[in-house]
Amino acid sequence: MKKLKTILKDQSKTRRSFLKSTLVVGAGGAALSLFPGLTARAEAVSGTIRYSNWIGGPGDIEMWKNVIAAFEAVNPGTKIEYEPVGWTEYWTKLNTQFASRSAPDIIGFQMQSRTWGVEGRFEPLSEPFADLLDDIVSSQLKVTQAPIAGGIEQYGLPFRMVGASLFGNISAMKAAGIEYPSEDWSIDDFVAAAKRLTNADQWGTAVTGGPVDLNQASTFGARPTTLDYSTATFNSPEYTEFIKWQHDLIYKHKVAPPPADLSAQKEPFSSGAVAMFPSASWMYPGYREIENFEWDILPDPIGSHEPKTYAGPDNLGITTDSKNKDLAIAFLRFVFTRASQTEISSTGMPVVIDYLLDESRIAKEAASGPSNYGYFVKGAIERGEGYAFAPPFFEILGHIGDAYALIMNEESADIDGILANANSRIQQALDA
Amino acid sequence: MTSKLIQSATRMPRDSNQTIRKVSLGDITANTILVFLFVVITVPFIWSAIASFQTPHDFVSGKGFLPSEWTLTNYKKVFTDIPMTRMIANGVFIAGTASIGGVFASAIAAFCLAKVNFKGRALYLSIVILTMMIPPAVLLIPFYTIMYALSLIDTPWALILPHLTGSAFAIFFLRQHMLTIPHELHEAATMDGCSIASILFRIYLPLVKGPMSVLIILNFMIHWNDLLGPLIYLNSVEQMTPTAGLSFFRGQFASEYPVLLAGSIVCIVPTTIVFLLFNRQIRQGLLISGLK
Amino acid sequence: MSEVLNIKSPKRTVFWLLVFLFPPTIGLGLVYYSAAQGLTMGFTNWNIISAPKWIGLKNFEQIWNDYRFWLAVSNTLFIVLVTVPAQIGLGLLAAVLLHRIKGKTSSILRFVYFYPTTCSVVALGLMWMFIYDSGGLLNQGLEFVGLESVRWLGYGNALLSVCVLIIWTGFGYISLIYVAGLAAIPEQYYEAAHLDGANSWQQFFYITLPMLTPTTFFLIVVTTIGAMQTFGQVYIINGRADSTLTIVQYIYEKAFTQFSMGYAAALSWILISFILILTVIQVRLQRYWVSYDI
Repeated sequence: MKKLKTILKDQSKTRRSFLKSTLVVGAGGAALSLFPGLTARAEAVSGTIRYSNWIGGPGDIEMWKNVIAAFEAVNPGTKIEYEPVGWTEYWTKLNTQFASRSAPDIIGFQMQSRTWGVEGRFEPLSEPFADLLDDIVSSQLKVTQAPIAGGIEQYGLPFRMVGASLFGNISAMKAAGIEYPSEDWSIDDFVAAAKRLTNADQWGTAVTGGPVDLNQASTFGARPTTLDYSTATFNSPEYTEFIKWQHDLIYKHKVAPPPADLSAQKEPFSSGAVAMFPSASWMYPGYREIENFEWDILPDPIGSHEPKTYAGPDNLGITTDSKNKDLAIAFLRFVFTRASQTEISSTGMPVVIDYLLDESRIAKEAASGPSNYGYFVKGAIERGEGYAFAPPFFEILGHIGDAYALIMNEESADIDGILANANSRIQQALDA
Repeated sequence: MTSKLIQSATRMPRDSNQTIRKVSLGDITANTILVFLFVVITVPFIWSAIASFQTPHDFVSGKGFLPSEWTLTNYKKVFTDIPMTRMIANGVFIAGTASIGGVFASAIAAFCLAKVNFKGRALYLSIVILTMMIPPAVLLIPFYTIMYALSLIDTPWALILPHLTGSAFAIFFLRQHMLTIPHELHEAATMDGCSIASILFRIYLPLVKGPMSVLIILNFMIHWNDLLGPLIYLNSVEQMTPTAGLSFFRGQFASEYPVLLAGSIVCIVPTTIVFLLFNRQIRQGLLISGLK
Repeated sequence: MSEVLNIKSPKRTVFWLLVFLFPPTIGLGLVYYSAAQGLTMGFTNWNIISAPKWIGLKNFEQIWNDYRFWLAVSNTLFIVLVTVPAQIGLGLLAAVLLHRIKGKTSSILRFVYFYPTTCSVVALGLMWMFIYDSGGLLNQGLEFVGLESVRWLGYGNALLSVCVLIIWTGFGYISLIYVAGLAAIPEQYYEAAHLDGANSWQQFFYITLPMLTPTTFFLIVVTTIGAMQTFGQVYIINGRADSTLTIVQYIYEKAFTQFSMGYAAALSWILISFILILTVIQVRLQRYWVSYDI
């Protein structure tokens, strides 16, 4: 655990040397500011601010209501107006509000800080949060960083992380005589297991086509864009190999269904339709309600490259439309206290390193399931990677999804052609 | 053979001359088609209604047509996870005020455009009709800016006021109706020296009661079903309307589908009630339509 | 012929005229002011975040080369060409059949057929998404009779499935309007024709259809404008690889998920022009087939 901490902190130290301000405010520095009930700056804040975020899944609304209630209890005279919006409508609404300069004081967002922050719509947070940045997983901070003259600036902060894993139907595996795989099992082992798990009632695995793919794509050395998000690599030799492998899963090995044949009514894993399913941590609340079979996280199978773990943050930022920035900053700092992070971890993973690595927390989560939660946390921290989080993220996701629909649903699809097409479109989006 | 079938099926009834009609092949074909259409319309609704009584567990495992256990949890969730009762009240208030006020304003305008001769009347009418071709997406942001400047955001008035100015369709529709009303009706009134205000209120409005009711009901349904408006102009959960409130169950990664279905059915109930109550008026209102 | 009033006191008339037309004029002002603002953006590169910059016709040039725009156009035209005749045809058929029946049954049937129109497009879209699902009602039915299930929302079928939903929703409303139109045709015409020896088929073609032409014209115009602006259904039932992308949906996507307001406004210009041209063509053509008096 100490080694991990050093890894995480070293990265942030190098970055921090670029920052103009090196203030560490408050007695005892970072550690104290994470204790519940104590604010590093003892100024009284008051007033009302608006906070808006989208709804990721059931449980989000409840979680925020609790965090807000705790904050208002400790800070009388304040009111946080919470405005949740459904995922698809959230951006429409934000758009309208941004256009008329009436955006809420605090908003949830993903990777848009790179443009919005630089254009002056987000408050720079490096200074007010200088003391906290060290304690947050640095790979997650990267997403909301934007380059400015003289270094980089933090335009938002992650409040939770989500990540992908391969989920396994343990009962089905036992029935097929498959042992729980070791951490270095290979792609071929995986395919063999899938073959034994495929029968009339279930599929061995399934093909998805989105961020959760990263865990398997990375073992082929494939990623949709380069790490600096400047070039599209969707039809690179590595990615082409990966896609052809997935296509073979469906049509050659016949261990996965064509995506169009998967019912939208049934969640593939919890309904028992797919035995080994690439999914993500946001499904934990749903999966914990599974009664028919035992389930757990399986290690990511290894190919020609080391597998990465998809890990991405959900972020909060303060808009420059805000009229009460002190209150906004105070609330945002409150989100990083242990109590709040505990509440938030019911819907995702905390981003505060200490808490993330806390043994008792890991044990508690593992007890509710998945038992192998520790493997996931380790993967997210040691080998965590984002996914095409360039500003045109949604467009890119759309092109990838379209390519998948065309390739995976036809036995004889022109894979090279479709990938080349999609790649040029992704490149266009990146260039715009 | 087929043409004979169609022939008898489409024969215009002449019941006034006959008391009993033989059941012909045409009758059977006609009734079969009508029943088929009936089934095609009702089955999807029945199926969704049944699905809304499924437990989330059943839904997720796709147990098929009939649920293993019937439950009201989905409906309970609709009313507890979000303040649905309050939302229904909001919806009724907004849709009711907007539709009644809007149709009245339209009727008044329609009267002017049908019965009063003033310069530029044709031009005014064209300007009104032209607005029907503007895609609403274009208007969204400018409208929002105006509402924001008037501090009407997060109040029901942001949704009501724009419609109190009348709608192009209603104005057009009512104008056609008024055109078919004979001139003589008010000539007597003008001889008595009545102002056009009293002519409008005492003579014409009562005459177009039917079409007006139709429009009020139709507009009520449109406002009730409006999704984007409440979502954009309202912020706090307490101000929301039912249709917008349902979007809370559509998460980014996991949507609670059975609850959504139950919620959709809850949203459908008020409009069904309105429709049942005013069914007669709707039919009659369309009857004297000046569409000939 | 429209009659006009002959008022004794013009001054008071003008006063009332101004009062009565005040609310609609405000509304019109609001709409046109907003439209002007919104549409002017078509000549800029506004993306909400930074200030707009004038770029002239560059957006339109980009649109011309935009493969997704042309996809949206072809999808939208497909929807118009399929759903407008189908809805009107089915509505007319239903109306004619309903007209033969009087009383309670007719009332119930008309209520049922019209019912989908009263529901929100989103709710109906959701409902049909599950019906079309690979494990949904339609496929369950097919399997029940031993046939293979169909990928209703698959790449090749999605657009047609959306069309079916649109027709299913709309024909009831159209049948109601036709029923009203049918009731307005005087009985004597049919009796006279019958005396002249015309059979039902001929009666339908030479009396019913011609007398319904004004109604049909109104319905064609209104339904076309509606079909060109299809949005709700495809928003919910999102066919993959742009197989169900419509023009309004593309405008919405560009404006609200990609924040390209300038581009979206330019697209709106094009949509408005399309609708205007189509409507004008329809209005011009009416003299060839629409008869207002017999």
